Amino acid sequence: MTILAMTLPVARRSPLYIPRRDLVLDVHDSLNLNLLIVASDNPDAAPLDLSGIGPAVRFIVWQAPSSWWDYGFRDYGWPIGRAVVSSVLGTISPTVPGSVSVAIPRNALACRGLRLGWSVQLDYAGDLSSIVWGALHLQPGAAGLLESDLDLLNDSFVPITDNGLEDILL
Amino acid sequence: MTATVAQLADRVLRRLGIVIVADSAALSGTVTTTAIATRALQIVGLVIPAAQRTLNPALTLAADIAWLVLQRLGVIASDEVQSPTDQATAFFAVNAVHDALVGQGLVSWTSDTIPRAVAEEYIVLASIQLASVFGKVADPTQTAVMEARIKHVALVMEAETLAEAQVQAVHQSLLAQGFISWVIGAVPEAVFEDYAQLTAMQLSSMFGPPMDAKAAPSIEARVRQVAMVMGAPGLAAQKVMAVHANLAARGKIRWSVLDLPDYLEQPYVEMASFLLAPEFAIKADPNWWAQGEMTINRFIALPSSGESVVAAYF
Repeated sequence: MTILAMTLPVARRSPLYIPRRDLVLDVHDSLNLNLLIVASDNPDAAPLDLSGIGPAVRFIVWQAPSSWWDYGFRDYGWPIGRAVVSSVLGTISPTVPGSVSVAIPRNALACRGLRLGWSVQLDYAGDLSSIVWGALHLQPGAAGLLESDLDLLNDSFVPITDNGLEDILL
Repeated sequence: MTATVAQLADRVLRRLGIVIVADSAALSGTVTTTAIATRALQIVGLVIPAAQRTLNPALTLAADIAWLVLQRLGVIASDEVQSPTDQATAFFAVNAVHDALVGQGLVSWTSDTIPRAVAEEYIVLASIQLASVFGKVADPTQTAVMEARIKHVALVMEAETLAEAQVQAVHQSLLAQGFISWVIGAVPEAVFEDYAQLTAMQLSSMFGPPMDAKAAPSIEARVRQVAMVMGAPGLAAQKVMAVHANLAARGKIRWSVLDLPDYLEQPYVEMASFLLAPEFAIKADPNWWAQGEMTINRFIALPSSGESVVAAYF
């Protein structure tokens, strides 16, 4: 399991750049992403109050175009118009202001390609904004360690079952 | 592990040798204007503070001094009653002495509230004026001596007020030069002696030989240094934030200022040092910035995914 913590400011410092965080995971890794969403990128920034009905945080994984440069991820495109691989709603903490956790189960990103992109969309006060994006590289696991029983998942990383409620395998 | 902006600022200050000790104690103690004034007066020779001086509060009337003048000149004996004419003459002389002192700007009291501390000097001065009237001989050279003594007593009585005004003047001077930012009611203890020395330099000519003012620029420089060190953490934090903003403006950050990874400590410190050094008249090496940026570029370089890249031609 890969556990990562990130503090994500809502107010951007630059009009030219959406804050970026790149990730590298093993292709079979699960990911626990603990996000703290704050008002701005300043030392005294307050966490955003995400309590109540309305605010939502969505973790989106999208397919990178095949022509993306690899080193340095010098792309010509931002996810708009790119194929969304999956999106998951984050779990907003009822006790810690601004705290959101996103859980991606193991193998969820397998067979999606090695070069993906990810972003987080914040639905807050009636506005929708992408507060972070980045490259998501998957390191292929060693052949001997590849698991044969990979669940078929829906876009929210939930295993798809057959009529007998058995997981459908890839 | 996250490095805070304050921690990075602290490291910048240590790197430049501005604040040597990590987490140095805050300069929180302050001193009052009165305390500085008292210390300045001690430097110029007025050792005992006003609060501890027990000047006899009893005051002397000009009429009483006139009677003593007639005795001093041998016009009347101590148990003899003065004649109205002699009394008027002596009274006039004492008032003339007093008016002369007021006219010279030496005293502020009235002829009915002459401090007992200068009664003898008044008697001598009036006696010098009246000596020829009563056929006596007086030493006129004593006039300057007596006036100097009266002046000194008057100065001592006003010393605290004068010194406190001078402390204000010193403070305003430092403020006007842009050396300090604190208010007069919050002068740090760290510059207590410097304020007192500067005040004493201004006061010294009133109380005796003037002090050598050559040391004033170096004392002012020390006050400036203290003020800068006090403001240094804030200034250093500003520079750390400036580095962060610079990188953000070029799309080079992969973190927020609230979750700076500890491996960024060194490059941020190097780059912020480059920005802060000129503020403290320290020569900045451009390599500090370049080195820091190069390190950050290495940190944000994304490893290859290994997937083949389709070439695109335009």
